[in-house]
Amino acid sequence: MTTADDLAAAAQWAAQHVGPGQGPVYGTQVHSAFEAEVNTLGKAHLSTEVSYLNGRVVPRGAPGSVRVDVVEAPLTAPTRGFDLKTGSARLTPARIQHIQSHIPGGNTVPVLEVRPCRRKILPR
Amino acid sequence: MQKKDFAALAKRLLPHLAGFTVKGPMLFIQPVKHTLRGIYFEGSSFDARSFYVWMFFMPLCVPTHHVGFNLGRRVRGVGGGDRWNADAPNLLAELGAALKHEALPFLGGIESLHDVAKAATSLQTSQDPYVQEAIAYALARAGDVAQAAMALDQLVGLLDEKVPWQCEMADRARALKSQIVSNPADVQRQLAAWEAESVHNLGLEAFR
Repeated sequence: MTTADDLAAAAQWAAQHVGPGQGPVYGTQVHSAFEAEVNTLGKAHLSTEVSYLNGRVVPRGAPGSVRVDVVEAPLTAPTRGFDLKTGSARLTPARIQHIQSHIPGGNTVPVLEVRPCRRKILPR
Repeated sequence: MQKKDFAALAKRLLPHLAGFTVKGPMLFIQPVKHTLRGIYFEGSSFDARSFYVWMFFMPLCVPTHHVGFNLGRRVRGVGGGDRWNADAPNLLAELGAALKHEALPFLGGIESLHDVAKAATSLQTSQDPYVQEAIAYALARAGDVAQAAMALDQLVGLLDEKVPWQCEMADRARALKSQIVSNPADVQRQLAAWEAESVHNLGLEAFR
């Protein structure tokens, strides 16, 4: 499976785990479950919840920083960033541009949407 | 987790970490001289009890307002995941062991400014300007004029000056480079001033 497949499966598992819903609270719950699942995968090339400010890795909440849901490869040289979206939410060009303005590598780093895949993930 | 929760956790970890002290969500080696060598607890939006642990170092002669982790990495648990939970039954033992095995060797080997440059060089696998800046400034602060000048040139070569923060970094590097050969004493004064400024910005005056 590719990283994108792994993340889509993690998103699907999170959506199933949380159950149906909508709105910001639901989105937060799915994000939490998704990030827990990615963490459980234990893949050293994936990091969740990384904050960047002007190419620098900074603590969560540093003024002006942007938080990326999942980052692939070294934190200081990510090859891709992933943003989880649920329901009708979409990864907009403005959001991509905002992330790329802070992530190391800038606009050479693709920022991709992760969305629950359609196939059902069997319960564990 | 709030800052006070992290501070409480950090204090409980102190017995595993000789020579460290606690300030808010950060544990670091005291006294703080030219370089901050620390462990930082960062909250997670996953839930109120989850957090990440970073080990990092920063030469303070690079002016800064924030801690940054480009010269560092997250401490991972036995399973490979990088998120920790404050309610885990063996948290203190597992985190203490991880810090002992990962953070202490990583941070403990950094004593001199040349150690800083060497450790940063070992992390420079991705042409990261912040890592290159740390190498160059540490060498300059150590008085290693030739190596610092070369490292500053390399730094400027990594930067895209159409990006404002990179332009600022390049301007500062060029100014330092132009002075380093002609007036090394002024460079030392400037680096000492930036060091004091960083210490002030990070609230570390009492730990020097």
